[in-house]
Amino acid sequence: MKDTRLEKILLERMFMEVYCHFHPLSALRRGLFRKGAMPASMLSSLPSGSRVVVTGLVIFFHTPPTRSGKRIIFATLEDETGLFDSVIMPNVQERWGKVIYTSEILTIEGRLLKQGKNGKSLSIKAIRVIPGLSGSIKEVSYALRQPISENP
Amino acid sequence: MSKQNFVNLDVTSAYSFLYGTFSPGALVKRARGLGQEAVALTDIWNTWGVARFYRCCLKEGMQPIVGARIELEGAGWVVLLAKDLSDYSNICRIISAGLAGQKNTKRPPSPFPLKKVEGLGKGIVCLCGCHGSLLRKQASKGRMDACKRRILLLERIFGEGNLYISLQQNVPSDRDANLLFMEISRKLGLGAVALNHTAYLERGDFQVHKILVEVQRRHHHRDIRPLPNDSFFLLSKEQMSRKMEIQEAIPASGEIARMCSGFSFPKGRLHPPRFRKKEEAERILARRALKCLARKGTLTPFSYITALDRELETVRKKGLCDFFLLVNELCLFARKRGIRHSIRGSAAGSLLVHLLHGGPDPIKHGLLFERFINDGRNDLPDIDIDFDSERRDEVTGWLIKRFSPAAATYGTGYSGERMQAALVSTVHTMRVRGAVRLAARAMGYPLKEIDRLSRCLPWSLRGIPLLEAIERLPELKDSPLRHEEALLCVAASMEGLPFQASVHLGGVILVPDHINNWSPVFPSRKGFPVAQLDKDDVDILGLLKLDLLGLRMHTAIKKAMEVLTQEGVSIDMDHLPLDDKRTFDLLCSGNTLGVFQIESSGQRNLVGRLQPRCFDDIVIEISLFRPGPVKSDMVNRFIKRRDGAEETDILHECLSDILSPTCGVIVFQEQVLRIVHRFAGFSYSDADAFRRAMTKDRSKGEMGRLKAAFMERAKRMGRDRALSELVFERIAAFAAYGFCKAHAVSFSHITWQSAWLKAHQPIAFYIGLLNAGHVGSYPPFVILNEARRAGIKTLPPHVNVSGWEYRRKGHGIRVPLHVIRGIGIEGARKIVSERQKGGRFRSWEDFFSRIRLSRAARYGIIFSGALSGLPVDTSPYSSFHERYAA
Repeated sequence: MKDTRLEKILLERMFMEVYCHFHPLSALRRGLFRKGAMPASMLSSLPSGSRVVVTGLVIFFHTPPTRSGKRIIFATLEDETGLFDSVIMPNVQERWGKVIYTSEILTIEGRLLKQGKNGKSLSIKAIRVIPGLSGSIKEVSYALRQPISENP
Repeated sequence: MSKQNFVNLDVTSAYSFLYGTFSPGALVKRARGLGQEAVALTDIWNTWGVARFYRCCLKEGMQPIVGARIELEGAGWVVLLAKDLSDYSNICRIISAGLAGQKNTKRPPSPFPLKKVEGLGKGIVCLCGCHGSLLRKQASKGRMDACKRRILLLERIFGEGNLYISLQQNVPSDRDANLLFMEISRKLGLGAVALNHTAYLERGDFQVHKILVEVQRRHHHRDIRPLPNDSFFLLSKEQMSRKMEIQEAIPASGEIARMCSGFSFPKGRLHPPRFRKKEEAERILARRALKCLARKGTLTPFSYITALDRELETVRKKGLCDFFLLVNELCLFARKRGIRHSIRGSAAGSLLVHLLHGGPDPIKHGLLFERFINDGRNDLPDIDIDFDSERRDEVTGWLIKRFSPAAATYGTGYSGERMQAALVSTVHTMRVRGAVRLAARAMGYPLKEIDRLSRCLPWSLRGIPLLEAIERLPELKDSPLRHEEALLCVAASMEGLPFQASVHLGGVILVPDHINNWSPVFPSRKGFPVAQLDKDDVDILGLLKLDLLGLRMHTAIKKAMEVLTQEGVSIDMDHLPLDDKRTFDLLCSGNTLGVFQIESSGQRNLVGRLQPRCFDDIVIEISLFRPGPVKSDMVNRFIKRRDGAEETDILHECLSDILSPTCGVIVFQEQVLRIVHRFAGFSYSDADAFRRAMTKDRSKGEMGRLKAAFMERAKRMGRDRALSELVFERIAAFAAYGFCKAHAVSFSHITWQSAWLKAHQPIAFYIGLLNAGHVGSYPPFVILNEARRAGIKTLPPHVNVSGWEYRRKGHGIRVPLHVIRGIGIEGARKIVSERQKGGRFRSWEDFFSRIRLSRAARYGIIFSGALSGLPVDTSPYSSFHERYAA
C-alpha cells in the first residue's frame, strides 16, 4: 500500500473506535473528485435543484412514519467537510436497497434541496446510488482506480 | 361458573422467559374461545404477566386465577394459586425469598427449602405432583411411602383443604403415577385434580417451544430440556375428558377456580407512603415555598403571590403536600451532593415546583399550573426529574434506603421489615433481527451463515410482520433468508415475545404498605430491590411511580464544567443570558451536532429553516419537531407565516395574545386550554378534561359530543356561531398534536446551555460530550471529526500522556487509551495507574513487561501508535510481533 494516509486510516479503523488524524474520505478525495463527487462544503454555493454527486460515511439511517405511509429513508452521511442529509425515496430503495444498507461509504447522485429563508437547510434527494463507489473504505479506494460504468 | 366446567390451572406464558409461547392476552382470548369462564396464569418463579393478565381477564369477563410455578426442596415443581390478595402477597414473598438467594440471576433459582415456606404457605392452594416434579417421578416408580410422606408434609404447610394432587396424562409413565396418586388421595382424603401443564396454546406451537428452550440452552447455557411431546397445550373440557382416564378428577379444577374467586387487586389509584401528619405536611410545604419565594428577588410581584396561594390550595385539597415534600427532599439531596438535575414534563408549569425544585419560571414563560394538576384530575400527578446519569444511582439509592431500610438484607424481606420502595423492571421483547438470529442459532445454523442470513435485516420492522416484510422491503429482495421457510416461520412466532427482564431506567415505585403485597422483588446487580412490575403494570395497579431519569446531557455539561474549572474558568450555567448573539448564530447555522434535542438530521434541518432569534423560538422548534406536527404540516404552515409568506389568522381578538406568538398555529397544549377557557368560558380543569378527551378518543361520536359542549358554552359567552365552529375546528385539528409547553421550556433551557457551551467553549463542550458516554445520536468518532473541523487538534492516544478520559491539551483534545480496540475502560485505567505508580514507560519492552494485555489489545496498542516515540528494543517489526503480539 503506497498511500500512507489511506494506510493510517485503515489502521485506525481496524484498531481504534475513532479517527484521530483525518477523516477517511480525505484520503479518498482526489479520486472522488475525479469521479465527480463533490465535498459537502461545496453544496451551499450551488443553487437549489442542482444535480450533484456526493460521497459520505454512513452515520445512520432514520425511517420516521410519513403522512403518505411510504417508507422514506433519511440518511445522515459525513465527509471530511461536514455532515449532510439525504432523502432516499422508495423507488431508489427498491433498486439499491441492499447497497444502501450494507455500505460503509455511500455515493449518491441526487438533486440538491435548499430550504429556509437563507437556504441554510440542505439535503439531497437521491436519484440513484452509485454502487461502484459505495461499500467499505477498502472497496471504494480500490474502485477509485477503476473506471465506473455509467449505468450500474 | 358451572359445576362441571374444566379450568386450566397450570399455565406458563411467554413471561416464563424462553419457555411459554404466548402472551397473557392471547391466553385469555383462547380460553374464552374454548368456552371457559376462568383460567390461571402460573409462570415459573415470577408474576411478570399477572397485571396484564388480570386486566385482560376483566376485559373479557373471565375470572383471573393468579399464582406461580415454583420448585420446592423435596417435592419438586408445584403450582401455587392465590385465593385472595393476602395469598397473592404470600406467593410474592415466597418468590422474593427464592430469588434473593440466587447468585446468578440469569438462571432459575435452586429448589426452595420447605422450612422457609412454613408460615407463608397457609391458605395458598398448592397443586403438587405436577409434570416434571420429583413427586411424579417417585410415583411413576411406585414409591408410595416416600410420596405419602412428602404429601403429608406439604399438607401441613399449606393447610387442610388447600393441597391437591395433580393428575396429568402426557407421557406413558403418567398412567402409573396417576393411579398411585389416586390411591394416596383416597387414603389421605386429599383432592385430586386433572391438570395439563400448558406451555403453548395449540399443538402446532410445540416447535416454537422447542426452539425457545434450545435458545435457553445455547444462549444462557442452561441445563434444561423441552417438553417431551406436543400434548402440553391449552385444553378444552372435551379434550380433557377424552385424555384423562380418571374422570372424577376433572371437576376439581372448577372447584379450585371457585376457591380462588376472591382474588382481585384493589381498585383506584393509591397514595404514596405518608411520613407526616397531614396538617404538619401542609404547614411545612407552605413555609418552604414562601421562604423560596422571598429568596427569589427584591420585590415579589403580586402575580407570584396569588399564583402560589392558588397552587398551595389545590395541592392541599388534593392531599399532595407529602408527595411534594418527598420530591423536595430528593432535589435537596441532589443539590447538596452537587448532582445536576432538572424537572421535565408538565410539572415545570408549577410555580411551587419551580420554587422548591428549580427549573424554568412558569410565570415568565406563560406556563399553566392547570396542565399539571387541576380539580378535574383524579390521578396522582407525575413529577419527572432528570439527573446527571452518572450519579443518578446515588439518588435512587437514597430513595430506596429511605423507604426500604431492609433493602440491603431483603433476602429475609418477608420477616415483616418495612419495604415500601423498589425499582420498576422492564421486559425486553424479541425484535425481528434478534428473533431470526436466536432461532437460527437454536436450529443449528453456523455463525457465519447466521450473519449472512441476517444481513440487511433491520432490528425492528415497525409493526410489519416478518413474513410480509420479506416480500415488501427492497433491501430484503435478494436476501437468502427468503429461502429459509422453517426459520422464517419460527422467527415470526418468536418476534414480540418477552426475552428477558431487566431494570427500568429510572422508575421507582412507592407503595403504601409492603412491596410484596403487590409484587415479588429480585435483587438488581447494584443491590437494589426490583419489583416484577413494568411501567404499564404500575399504571394498571394504580401505584405511585417516580421517574428518576438519567440525562447524559447533564453529565456532558458537568464534564465540560470540570474541564473549565481546571482552567480556572467559572460559569454559572443556570443563569446564562438568554440573548447571547453567538449562541443564536450557532443555532441559525444549523451546526448543532451535540446540542441537546436539536442535533438529529431533521432537527438540524428545521433549526436552519426556523432561524431562531429568541428563546421562545427554541421552545417552538422543540415542540414542532414531533411526528404529529410534521405529519399534519404544522411545521410548514408556521414557517410560512413567520416568514410572511402566508397570512396569520388569529380568529378573534380575544385570542390574540394566545395565538400571535405562534403565528396563529396551535403548537402548545397550554394554548388549547387557554383558548377553550377564554373563548368558551370553560374552567381550566374542564378545559384540560376537554383537551384530554380530544387527544384520547377522536371518534366521530366523541368529537360530536365535545363540539356540542363547546358550542353551548361559547353561545353562553355570546360568541358568534360561525366563528365558534371555526375555533372548534381549529382546536380539533391541532389539539391532538399539541406539545406540553412546560416540558418544552424545561428542555429548551438545557438546549440553550449546551448550545452556549458549544458557541463559547467548544473544546470543553466536545470533551464533555465525549466523556459522558453515548450522548444523543452520534457515535464518538463523528463528534471527534466535528471537533477537528472546528479547528481543534485531535491528538492520538499515547501510553505516556493519554488518560482514561478525553483531555484538553492546549488547543486540542488528547484521545484516551480506551478507544483502542481490546483495551476498554478497565485496561485504560490499568495503564494510567501503572504509569502513575511506576513512572512513564521508557520503551516497548518496559511497557509490555509492566502491563499484561490480551493479544488483540497488544496489536491495538502497537498499531494505533500509542507507543510511538518509544524505543523498540528489538528492531524489526516482524520479530517484535513474534515476541509480544504472538
